[in-house]
Amino acid sequence: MEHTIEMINVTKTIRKSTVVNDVSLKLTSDKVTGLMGINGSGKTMLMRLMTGLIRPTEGSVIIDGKELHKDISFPDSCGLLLENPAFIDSYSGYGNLELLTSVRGRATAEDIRNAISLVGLDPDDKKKYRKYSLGMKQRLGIAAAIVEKPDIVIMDEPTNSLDTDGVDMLKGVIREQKNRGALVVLSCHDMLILKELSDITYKIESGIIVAGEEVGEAR
Amino acid sequence: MFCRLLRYDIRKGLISDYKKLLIVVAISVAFCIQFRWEYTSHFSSLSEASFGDIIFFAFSGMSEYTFSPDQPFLFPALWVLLLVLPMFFVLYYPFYDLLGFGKNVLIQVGRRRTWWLSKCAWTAVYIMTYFLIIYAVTAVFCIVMRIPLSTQISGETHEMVAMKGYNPMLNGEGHLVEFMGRMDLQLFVLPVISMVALALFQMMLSLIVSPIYSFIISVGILISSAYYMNPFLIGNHCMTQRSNLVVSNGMDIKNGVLLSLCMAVFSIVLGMIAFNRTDVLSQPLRDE
Repeated sequence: MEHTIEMINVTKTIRKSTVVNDVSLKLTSDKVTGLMGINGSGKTMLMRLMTGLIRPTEGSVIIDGKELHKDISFPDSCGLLLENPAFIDSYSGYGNLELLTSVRGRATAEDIRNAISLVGLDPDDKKKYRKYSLGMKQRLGIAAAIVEKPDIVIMDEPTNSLDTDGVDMLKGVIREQKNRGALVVLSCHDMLILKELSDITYKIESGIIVAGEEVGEAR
Repeated sequence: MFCRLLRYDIRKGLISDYKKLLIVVAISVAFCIQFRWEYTSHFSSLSEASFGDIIFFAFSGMSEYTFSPDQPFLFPALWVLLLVLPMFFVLYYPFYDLLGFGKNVLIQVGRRRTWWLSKCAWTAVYIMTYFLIIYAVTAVFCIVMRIPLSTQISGETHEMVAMKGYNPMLNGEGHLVEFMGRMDLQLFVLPVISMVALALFQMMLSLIVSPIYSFIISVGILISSAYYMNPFLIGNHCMTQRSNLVVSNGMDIKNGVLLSLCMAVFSIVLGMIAFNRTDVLSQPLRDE
């Protein structure tokens, strides 16, 4: 099944400041979408709008044919990495994901182990999250976003704190999500990396989509 | 889904954060020792003291304050500390959870109402745990000191509190009038439900103003309760000295329960409406 996110004339104003301005987009699961723009350009707000965490001031966001805040409050199946992941300091990586997935109860222990392994961490590592390096924290955040095999995967600056091995790992993760039919949206301020990771990119400036570019089979 | 979410909240916001509750253990030990010291400085031994006496002492608060140049306002520090602490402990978790992977959880849950109700239930569980720790530490202290685990309030405690300037309604035998049974509600139920109600009110306010301002308002309500003997200031219902079991013009337990229930329901409903309209941003809601 193909998954879609459609934004129709979406505007978001916070305290008289327009952070997303009349954006219309249609994203599909056959292409990995990259959002690029400088800090404060509106990438994260756009992602928050897609996830239902914030409401559009005008316009509508439609996920797989259902309108957010009208038919549904949040996407039915969505994995998220938004800004810096924050987990419980005193738990291991496995313990954190086990707690996170306990709410829906959809992921098995095997799913958790696979997700942790996929991002290059050791599922049997008892090291507490507080002792993780920044790169390990980011990897665990990526694992949290994909552990339940969601239909939609949204990652804001997933390359933050990752070294070159980490970026390679991320490419593999994104490829796997695309192959299993998930709709993937990424944001990054580094155009070169984003083009490596995405099939189509949109450039955002001051909350407006100023350019869209098909990257092709970059991988 | 609600039960699983509540279990997640309890694990994340209570069990994994258990170190905070060690402070409650320390404070409880401290007031037990203070009770022992004050009691034995007035009376030769602890032979008449009971578990109920210590709880009565801890939550005694202060008698009605009437402004007069001769009567300085004696700040009921222990009472304020015991009630402000749980308000602080439950202040940030619901909103800081949203800054971390709580966002993922909210999306997984799929309904804002479920998320809000779980946080309300978590708040109630947290406050109940807080009071349970106080009662448990006090019970252990009693066992160690060979103080009976009875909830009966002794005549000595009446005297001790009376020496601090309060006038208990004593019967001919020197015992407080009408203490039987209902004092248990005043000691063990009313503080818990009043503080649950105030904590829910604080959480609702956090959505509308911000966590820090809502905490200031909660503390303001508690301190105002010490200054003004008014049934609508909920702190009055948590002071054993201001119960109508102790003073004739005191607070009625039924009114305390009713006020707490109304405040809790109002906070839950209004908070649910407010959270439905709240944008989940990168900082604690309205603090951004």
